[in-house]
Amino acid sequence: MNLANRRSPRRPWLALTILAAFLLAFFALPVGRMFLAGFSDDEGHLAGKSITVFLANPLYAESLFNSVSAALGAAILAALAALPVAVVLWRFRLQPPLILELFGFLPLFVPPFMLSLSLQTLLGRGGALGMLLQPVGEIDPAMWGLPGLMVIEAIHYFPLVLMTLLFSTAGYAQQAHEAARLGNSWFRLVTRVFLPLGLPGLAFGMAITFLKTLDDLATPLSLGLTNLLAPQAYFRVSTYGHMDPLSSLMAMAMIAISVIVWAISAGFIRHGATQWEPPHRQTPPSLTTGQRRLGGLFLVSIAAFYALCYSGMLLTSLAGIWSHTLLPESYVLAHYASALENETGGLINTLVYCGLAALLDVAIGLAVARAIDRSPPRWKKNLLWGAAALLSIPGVALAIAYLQFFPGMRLPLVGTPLDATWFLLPMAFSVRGLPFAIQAGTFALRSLPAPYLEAALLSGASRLAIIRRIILPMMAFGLLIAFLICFGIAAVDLSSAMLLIPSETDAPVSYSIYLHMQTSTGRGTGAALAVLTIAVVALAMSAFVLATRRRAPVLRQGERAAFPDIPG
Amino acid sequence: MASIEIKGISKQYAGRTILSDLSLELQDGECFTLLGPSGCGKTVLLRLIAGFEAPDSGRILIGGDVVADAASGEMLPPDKRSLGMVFQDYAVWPHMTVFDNVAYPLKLAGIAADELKRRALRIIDLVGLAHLDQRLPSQLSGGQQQRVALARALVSEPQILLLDEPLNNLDANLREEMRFEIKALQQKTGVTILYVTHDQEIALGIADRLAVMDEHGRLRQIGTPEEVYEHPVDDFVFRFLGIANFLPVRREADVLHVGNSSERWTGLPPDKPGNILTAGFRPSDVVLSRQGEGLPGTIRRASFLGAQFDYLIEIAGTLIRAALPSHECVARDLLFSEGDSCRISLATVQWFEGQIVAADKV
Repeated sequence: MNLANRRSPRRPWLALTILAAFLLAFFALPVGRMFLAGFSDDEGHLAGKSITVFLANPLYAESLFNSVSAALGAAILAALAALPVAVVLWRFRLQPPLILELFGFLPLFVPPFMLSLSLQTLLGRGGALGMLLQPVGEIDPAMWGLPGLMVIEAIHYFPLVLMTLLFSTAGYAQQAHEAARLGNSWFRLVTRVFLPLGLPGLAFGMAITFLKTLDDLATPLSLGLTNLLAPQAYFRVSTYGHMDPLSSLMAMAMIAISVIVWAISAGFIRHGATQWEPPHRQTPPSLTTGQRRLGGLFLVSIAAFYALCYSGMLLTSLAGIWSHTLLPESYVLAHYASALENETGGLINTLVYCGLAALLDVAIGLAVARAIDRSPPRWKKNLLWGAAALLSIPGVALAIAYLQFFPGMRLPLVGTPLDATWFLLPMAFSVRGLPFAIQAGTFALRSLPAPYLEAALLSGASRLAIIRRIILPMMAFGLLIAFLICFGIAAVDLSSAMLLIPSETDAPVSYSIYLHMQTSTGRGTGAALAVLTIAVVALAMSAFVLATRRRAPVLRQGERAAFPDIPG
Repeated sequence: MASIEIKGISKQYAGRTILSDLSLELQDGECFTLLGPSGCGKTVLLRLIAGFEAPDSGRILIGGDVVADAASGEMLPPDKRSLGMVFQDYAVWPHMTVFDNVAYPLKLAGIAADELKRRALRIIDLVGLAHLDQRLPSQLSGGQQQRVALARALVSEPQILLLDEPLNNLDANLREEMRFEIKALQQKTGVTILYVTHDQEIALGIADRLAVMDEHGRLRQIGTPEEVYEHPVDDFVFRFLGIANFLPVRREADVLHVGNSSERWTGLPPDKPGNILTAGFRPSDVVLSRQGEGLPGTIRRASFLGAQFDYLIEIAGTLIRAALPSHECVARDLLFSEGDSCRISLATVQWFEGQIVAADKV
């Protein structure tokens, strides 16, 4: 035996350097530059003048107050709606089918302005129910002001809060039933068991609702609400250009609020009493036929409520003529034909931007997840929480940071200014999707415990053979899921898109929907595009459910999720 | 086949020393078991031999050739060490059939299709999985998956087979069955086996020689199973190989007494000097009687375990355990109740110098 084939383990310095460069270029430096811009005067010297202007202007102070109120209101409303529903599901151990559980995450993949536009079509003065209920009072959400925004965001994010609440309480539902049989009252079990267990899930769901509402640009604009931070920052950039210090200050205020809220909720999430557990892992309860029917009716009525909410969008997409009547006078498929014929550019743009962002996210998320997995145990939790803190970077703020940092820079070889291309959009999508990608990467790594690779190494497989024959087949499912999640998150990120797209021809489909719905002639096409988008998301989720059911449980619990070095 | 020489190996993780200056030799063609508590570093040693980790100091030789040398910083990659390895959690690739799993190392080695098929099917047959070669791992039981892992490790005819607690995830019956099969396979193929485990029953049952490792990664004793079981070098080894009873004994003017009592020691005399001694013995070493010679004791707990009775007995303030075959208890009228008096004598005793605190739960 000779030592000709000696190899020393290769350190992943190259991957780490690329990762650090990406985060530096597309996150740390732009955000740092924006902070400097917010505190600088016209000549670039550090000064606090812009803060004085910001605080002295009642419009901005009101916007700050409105933004926080709307986000807080939406989070509280969603929680208030989700809590009793979760208690009922927990009390009777009603297990929604997997497909319904997944649809709980639909709010992350469908932008809330679609719900706003659908409800306006339905409840507006010329809309179906709006016209019918006109004598009773004004029910057009566009006329409700800030409460309207809160209600719409709350309806939109309710399924997410419900699911996170269920996930954090599911593990002990069975024990609670056994305790109840031993004589503990349900009131006591709910207050002493359900609420403490549910707190982490509730805090997470409420935090996401808060952060997304604070960052939402399209929904307030669709309701005609402009006195909020995101719309004001958008208007200032549109009017005074990207170097406007007040827009920087607004973006910084949004970041500061988001970081504070995320830190508070992280405190609740971290100190939760239990690990989160998907509800379907429990032993199925034995319910009577009556209880089963009642439970089914309960779940169906929630689903029916959402179907009703989105029916405005569906009816608009099919309506030939619809004006001041309960239902459309005629139905056509022309809007779908128009959407497919004229809006393929938007669809292709979405595929390109979101596909690119998702690919980057999967690669970076996997690298970061692996680095975290291999870090010393005392660092692991903090690193994971540090990565999750990226959730608190609003899309509007990141887009403003890009607009201030990248002007003047040109694409290598072609020489086009960076901010005149769509290049920045997938980068922003990618940074925003990273917290989800890292989590998805961690799950993907779990499907490849270290011994599976070590067995291949002992067999004499080359690096390429191991990747092709072992890593990719075993991780394909996890990677696909990670890609789809990142793609979906990017596809609904309208806040970044509205600021970063250089022209309408470069717009992704979500922006096209938004633009179409703002015009009276384009509403049908916009609605058709929205329905098609929701249908694609629903199809993707259904396909995921089918794939999950077919997939045999090949790995046992507790297997090591480490990912060893592959000597190159 | 090949020998393994480990010379002065040390390994640290995150500043914590796992192995320190450890040396060990495995002879060509033997089945060697490394027995130690969880977390003592035995799996680390296995991974160092396999080449998944590099030693901080020391050298490893396989068949007389250096495969890892910390001084020169050079290492031979795992696939060049002529090793097979079976992991605790099987690591059978879930997307490949039994045949593909087993044939994969041969395919990588460029073996011709006919030869590949013949060798893969032969080894699948050898581990008792004939006719299951087209199944996916998810269609196999835990024991069958473990056999696939064993077949995959053996198919390349390695000189050395490393087994990392491969039977842990199996139920008791299957574990026993597989233990015999691994031993039979080793005798058929002549491969040198290094088997790592914390289960003393498996270690004693399978090994030609074994080493007992303590929680600090030090080797306490190396020998045949009989040597180590019958003549443990210290109380750690004695405790680790089964339930251990300890009775304190003091010597006063050449007279032996039990503990601090005036009760005289009636058993075998110690082979150790010193005035403070400890007599170590197994529950099965206790010879129980209702009266006559022996140390007087009181039954504190009586448990019927089917094949045997388990008694907890108080002797001069110390609790010990005795295990007697049920049929013997019935035949010799030794069915005691709590509070009954009894007499004990001991078939064999291990003597230790000084006083040993019996930490084992009784």
